[in-house]
Amino acid sequence: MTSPQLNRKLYKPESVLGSRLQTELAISILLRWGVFTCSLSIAAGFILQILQVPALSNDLIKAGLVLLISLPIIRVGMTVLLFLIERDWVFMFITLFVLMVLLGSIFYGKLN
Amino acid sequence: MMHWNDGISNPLVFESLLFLISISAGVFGSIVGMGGGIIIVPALTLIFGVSMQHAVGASLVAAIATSSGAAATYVRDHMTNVRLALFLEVATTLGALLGVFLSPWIPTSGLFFAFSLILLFSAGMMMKPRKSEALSPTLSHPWAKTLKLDSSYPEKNERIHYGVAHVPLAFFLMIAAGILSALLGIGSGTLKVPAMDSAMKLPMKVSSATSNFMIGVTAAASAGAYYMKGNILPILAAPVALGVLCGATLGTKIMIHLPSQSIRKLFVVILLLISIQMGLKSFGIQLQ
Repeated sequence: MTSPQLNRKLYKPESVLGSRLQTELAISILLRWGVFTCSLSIAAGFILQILQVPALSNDLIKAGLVLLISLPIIRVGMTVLLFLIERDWVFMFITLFVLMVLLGSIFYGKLN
Repeated sequence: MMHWNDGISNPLVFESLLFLISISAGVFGSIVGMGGGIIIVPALTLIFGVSMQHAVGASLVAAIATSSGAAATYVRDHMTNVRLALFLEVATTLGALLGVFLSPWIPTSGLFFAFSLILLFSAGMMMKPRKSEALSPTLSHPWAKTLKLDSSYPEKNERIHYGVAHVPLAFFLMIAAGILSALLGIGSGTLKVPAMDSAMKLPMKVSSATSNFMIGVTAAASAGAYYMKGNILPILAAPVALGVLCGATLGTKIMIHLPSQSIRKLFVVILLLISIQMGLKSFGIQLQ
């Protein structure tokens, strides 16, 4: 069972270092699981390719690649939310700006 | 030279070869803070005869894979300075935007020569002896204090505290780095690491890990557009992604044990090689 004190610490980090460590931990967990899922999906696609199941194999490989390309964008989006929760306005706007430029450039690429 | 469509009849042989080359690109990229494009692009174009745009598409996937694969470990171990990376990402994305708008007005041939000289200068700056690997936090720039950029990193079971110098200068250099990589199609790690090392006086491992963290975002912006245009071919990108992810995981384990000075020397050698390549390119001699 978690004590109420521990919960308060989780939601209202008392020191900057505490909140910084939580942001880093969240980024690290996101990347670890993201990379693991991509690798699994692409590897499964290769195995199905050897077993000659082309349709499913292509879908799995494509899904893995799309997730891999999206991962940095998801990462930036997640940091915007983390800084919003921490009420760190300077860094919230910094990450929000980067997210806007990222989405803008992908959209611009689609238009051209 | 073989062509991947007809030269190698069995796609599995081609994919396995590419997978192995990509492992080395991942190991190398995660150690020096680059995307591994300088291994992937020549391998694809020179060995397999892949067209330049498809090779670049695959190398963008390699950069994202190196970044995300290595950052999972570097961020957890606090080798990456996440707040600094996020702050500097504003400069590099701004620079990349400016580069796209400037490109119709700037002749690139003259730029390759200038870039070659910039790299030579960067190599020289990085070889200058330093008093210590980490800057004392008391010498940090005032902006570093306001933005809470000072941090610490692990070295031989110790946590070493470091400060961040010349924050405005580095911000300006990162804008320039963004412009140049957009104009010349150069991986941005090449310019990020020298700016962090020489201007901000960061420890080499922190520069490399932080650059590594940042290149994923820069590459994702281009990769998204490349994917929409159909320039990311799964037959190339899939073995590259898988190989680089394996290589990057391995690379983070090696980098932690390497002496900082060895990583710095390795980086300087690469800078000199790219400088020579860019110099030749400015005189119309193409190596790729």
